[in-house]
Amino acid sequence: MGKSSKDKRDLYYRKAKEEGWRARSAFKLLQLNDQFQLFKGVRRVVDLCAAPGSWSQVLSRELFEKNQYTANDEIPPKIVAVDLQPMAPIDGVTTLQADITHPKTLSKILEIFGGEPADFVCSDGAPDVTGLHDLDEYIQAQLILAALQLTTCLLRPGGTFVAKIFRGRDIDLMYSQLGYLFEKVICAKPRSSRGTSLEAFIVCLGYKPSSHWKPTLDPNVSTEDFFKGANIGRYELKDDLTYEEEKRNVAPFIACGDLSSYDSDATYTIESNVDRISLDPVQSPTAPPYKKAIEKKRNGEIKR
Amino acid sequence: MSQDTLVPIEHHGPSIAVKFWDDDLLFVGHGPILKIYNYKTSEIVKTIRIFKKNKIHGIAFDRDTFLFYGARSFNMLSFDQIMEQQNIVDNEQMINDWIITAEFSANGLEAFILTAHNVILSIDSYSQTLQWEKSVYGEKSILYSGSIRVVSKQDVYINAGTVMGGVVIWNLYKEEIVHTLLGHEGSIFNVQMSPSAKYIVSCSDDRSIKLWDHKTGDLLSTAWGHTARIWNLKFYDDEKSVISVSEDLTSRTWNITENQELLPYETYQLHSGRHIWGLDVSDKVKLAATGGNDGRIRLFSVKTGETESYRKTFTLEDITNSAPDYIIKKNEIVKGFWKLKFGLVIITSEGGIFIYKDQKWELLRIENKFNNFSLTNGFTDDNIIIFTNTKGDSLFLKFDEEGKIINEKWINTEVTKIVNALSTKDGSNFYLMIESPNKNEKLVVYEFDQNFEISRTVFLEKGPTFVTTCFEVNGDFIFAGFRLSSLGIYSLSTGEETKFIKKLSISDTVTSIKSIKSDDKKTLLIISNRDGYYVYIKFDKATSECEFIHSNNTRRGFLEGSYNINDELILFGFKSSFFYIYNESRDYEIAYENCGGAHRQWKLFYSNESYEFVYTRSGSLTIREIPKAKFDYYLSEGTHGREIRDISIRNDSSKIDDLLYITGAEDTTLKLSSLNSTNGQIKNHWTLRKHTSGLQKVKFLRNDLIASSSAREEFFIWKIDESFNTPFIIPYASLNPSSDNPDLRIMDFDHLEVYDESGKLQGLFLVNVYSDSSIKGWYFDPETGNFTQLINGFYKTCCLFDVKLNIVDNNVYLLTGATDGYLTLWDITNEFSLKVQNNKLQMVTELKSNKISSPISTICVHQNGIKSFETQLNNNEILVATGGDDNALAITSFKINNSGVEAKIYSKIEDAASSTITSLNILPNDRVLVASVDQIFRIWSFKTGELKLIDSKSTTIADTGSLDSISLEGKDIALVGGVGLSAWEIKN
Ligand SMILES: C[S@@+](CC[C@H](N)C(=O)[O-])C[C@H]1O[C@@H](n2cnc3c(N)ncnc32)[C@H](O)[C@@H]1O
Repeated sequence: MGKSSKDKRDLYYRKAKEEGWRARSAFKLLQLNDQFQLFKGVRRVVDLCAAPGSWSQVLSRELFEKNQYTANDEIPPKIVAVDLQPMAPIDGVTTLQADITHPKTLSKILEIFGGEPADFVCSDGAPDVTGLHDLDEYIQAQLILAALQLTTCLLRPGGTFVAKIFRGRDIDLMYSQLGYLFEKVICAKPRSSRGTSLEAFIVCLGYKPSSHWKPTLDPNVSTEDFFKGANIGRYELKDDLTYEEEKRNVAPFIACGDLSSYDSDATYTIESNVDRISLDPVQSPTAPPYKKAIEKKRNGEIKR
Repeated sequence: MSQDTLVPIEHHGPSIAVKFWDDDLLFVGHGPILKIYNYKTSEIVKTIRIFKKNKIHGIAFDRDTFLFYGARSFNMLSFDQIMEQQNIVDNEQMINDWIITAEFSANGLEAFILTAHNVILSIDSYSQTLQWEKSVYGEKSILYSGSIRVVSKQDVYINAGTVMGGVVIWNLYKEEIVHTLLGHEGSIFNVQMSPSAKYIVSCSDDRSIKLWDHKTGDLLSTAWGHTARIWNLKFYDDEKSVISVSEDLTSRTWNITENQELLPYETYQLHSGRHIWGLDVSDKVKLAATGGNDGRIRLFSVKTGETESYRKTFTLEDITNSAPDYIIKKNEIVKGFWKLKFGLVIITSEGGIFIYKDQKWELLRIENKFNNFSLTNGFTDDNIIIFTNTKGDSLFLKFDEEGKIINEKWINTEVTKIVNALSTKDGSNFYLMIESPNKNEKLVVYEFDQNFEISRTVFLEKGPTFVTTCFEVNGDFIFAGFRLSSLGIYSLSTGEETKFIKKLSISDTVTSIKSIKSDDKKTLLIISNRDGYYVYIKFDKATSECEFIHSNNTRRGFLEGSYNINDELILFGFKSSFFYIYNESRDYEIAYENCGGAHRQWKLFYSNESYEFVYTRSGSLTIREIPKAKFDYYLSEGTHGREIRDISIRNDSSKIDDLLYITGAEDTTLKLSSLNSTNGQIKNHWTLRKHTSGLQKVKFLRNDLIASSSAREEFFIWKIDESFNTPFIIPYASLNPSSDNPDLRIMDFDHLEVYDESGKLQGLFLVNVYSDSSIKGWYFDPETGNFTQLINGFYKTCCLFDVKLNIVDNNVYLLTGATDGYLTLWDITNEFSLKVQNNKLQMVTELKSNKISSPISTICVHQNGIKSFETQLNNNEILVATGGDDNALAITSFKINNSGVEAKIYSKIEDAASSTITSLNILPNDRVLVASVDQIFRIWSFKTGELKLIDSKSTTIADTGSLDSISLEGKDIALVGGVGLSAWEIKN
């Protein structure tokens, strides 16, 4: 996205620019951390759907700079960042360009960790919305489930999982299913996330692996097959195909970031001289698939 | 929860699935509801619920067995079951994954379901149980689209559209990949295989359509045209054509040439808002049906070559061939034409007059007086045509039904030169207006009858902005439109100017004036302006006063004129190189013609319910017929095709079956509509395009006044006029934005009535709250439309979401809700200049603006944004129902006594919804209606002080964001809006 005047007036956008974050999303993770101390004792993390990389920047700063990691430490911190889009390198971050819903991607990430568990898995993934709300919700759920697949294979017991959600019709199914795998499931909304958007984050604390289900990645296994037998309340295919209501549960809601932090819905008056300073977009735009169609329209090859 | 309190009446929302069946039926999914229409008669044959919650995404059938599917649900039913069985939802079944598509096998004994992980499930048609699963090893990645082509019992192909630009074609029984088709960019949104398996067609996020050879897997052709994503494709016409629908609101047809090239053919503009989802074509009747996000169902003919058959193009040679002796002069062109009942009459620039009748041209005569220049006028239904030259000669011709001249007459007008001649009719009187370019020469208007007997000659003083562009005569008045958007009104008997209005619109020319209705006292005029603006004027015959009662902007290129047909407004004009005819009342396009643009000779004729558009293009003459449609243009009217952000129903219980309501949507438009509260049917009157940014709020202030607010600090007051059949609505007043920050959103507003000393209603006190935390209040004078600022205030640096005004004990309280979750109460009684008497605001002689000081009470009710609130007065107590972004619902009380204000949360339900509560409404008997994004509509009671759930029902309106209700005798009616609109009855 370019610099719309809205971006220019968005204080989080300006602050991100000033503090050197690649996206204003950085504040969402920082505010979540203020509330839940997500980074405490964390050494190895996976950042899914990470491009352009502001969460990875936050993690890199926390794990390498703040925790004063020294080369003598036995296990060095590890950050793996995955996205469909290419990402510019970040100190201490291993990047991987891949689709997280593809079974092979998860195996690759496991390989990088070489059998060691992770302390924290996060995903800020969002698909391109179609406008069919139920389909969009389904695809978003698939991104979360893909992240959860990896989580169940990689996260140490007691570890934390954080994922972006859109609070739509079936979000309570997700709350309920995650409740089987974690001590605590909370729906958190950082103040830097616009109140007018349905975005929020599901914060899952205290991973408790199931004792009678062993998650296994297999290239011929879809997300649905993967959770078969996990007993997390997902509907499983039956021969008689009877309709069944799955369990729903409302997760407690917590607004985080203190009230004195900026309000992302408010319009702030910015002194006009500051306004004129040109701000480059924090996130460099990638070429959209429809670039050619736009060119054709511009050249008059497409009418009406 | 005893019996149902919330009872759905009707649902208007996106339609994703449409399917032709048998000779005259169209099956349509509207959310979970199936409607079967007889499209020949537009009747609804059956309305029935198929799923408990999920939407119908697709319909497959084999003979008279149907499979409906959507999300993870499906329901397999026979036609008889659909027509007769009760509780069909009990038959709903499900699988464990999203269903992409489904199709019956060749013998119909089983149905195949394709899942979003590229797996096929076979369902036994008889027992409706799962038989087997098939997939290709390692190909279970996620799909956005797919289709199943059953070629024969053994040959079944799965066409799968992946997320990463690839189309995977696999053979079901071999469980093997046939082709992986690469070339698209982005997710594949649709892929189809032609019936004989010859071709494959696909589309993706790159907005192109690709045609592939099934045998070789070669890419044959790539076609472009859609300006947004394409959602659906179908082959028709024996694999010779493809039809597509898109986010860009068009459906396009494409022809496959002999060289296997895919070429664009027609483009139909069909829906409003955004997205067309549903598509089907009946090859038998050559009809296509589409379903839009707006809930509208459209039907149109896709017979290849049909439009061509309605279009005839002639060169001057073609025309003159009929007269072997006629010699075409150098630079000779078709200069003018008029359609008469028997055919078309044309004149060339050399005075050659020809008629076109029964598919043949015929030379009528050559009139040398019309060498070089002529102007053509006429009266279609009376078979009259008039030619006029620059010197003042006019030739009047009348024909019989066969095209023979039965009367003719020459008239000379004594002016130095003629540049303009126009004609119109009033009752049985005909009028011709002649204009000279000389400023000092008056306009001449002739009144004459069928036999060309001139009964009157009137001379009109020219307007200061002369060059007349159109005129109309009604009773004793002549209405003339000029360049620079001005209007002159003259007495027909004296020619005197009785009124002149400059600048009807910002610029450009008045293109048409029509009187629609007239009685002894008044005339209703519709005037169109080339810049896209149109206005309805109520003209008072006694005083010549012109009251503007409706105006709107088409935002559709050049507006050239209008018709009033069955009380619906039909507009026509040009957009880029296209001519269009548009039903403005219903908001859809009737027809279009690629004529090359506005700069040409052209004329649109309408008679007998069909149109004829005649135009010249590079030396040729084209006649394009637009015959009366065989079927209605739409089966269901629909609503906004974008999220409805606010709804307001007029509280007028005298009109239970014609309740006026207004909705404001994300697409920046407002729609004024009527609701039949008994059957839930809606009728849209107008789509108002004045706001330029997403709507925030819209509310009735009075029976005839509405206010609306949006981002960019837009605040408009609208006035309703109901002196005619259709309610008219006009932007009446607006607030100037504070120019230094055009980004401000006006989040909410409230008002109180202001009376004069005798207790007569005089004006309104309005308060707005803004996204920068400011609060501003005005006195609004409905007589003048003026605003006088009375208060300004500031909350703190966060966004204010809501505001309410209340008077308690002659004190005026202002209550706000904000993104920080706080309710804040301000006492403004002594801080603004209006007086309070008997708990009513009273006007004072001098109005001043004051700053309001700090609030008297504030309480944190929610963790973050208070999305919606409403108040109820109980003696000295203001009760506030609030719904938050934090899923909580609360009742807070502000008790006002001598010592001050006591604020207390009475009752709060933390998890009143599983998602944001976006809208609520207080009903009589201490009940509150609540809408939230979890798509559950709830009603709570707070009678005892505690919130108790009375009833909850799921709604398929996604992005539920608005609600309003009214109490009619004995029942409460609510409208819930989001992507779509649903009507509910709330029982006591
Ligand atoms: C909101 S952005 C993430 C921003 C990031 N957390 C940051 O701070 O810079 C969402 C990302 O999800 C990615 N994404 C969506 N679907 C994906 C998938 N299936 N696999 C991998 N990444 C995906 C998109 O490419 C996009 O970069």
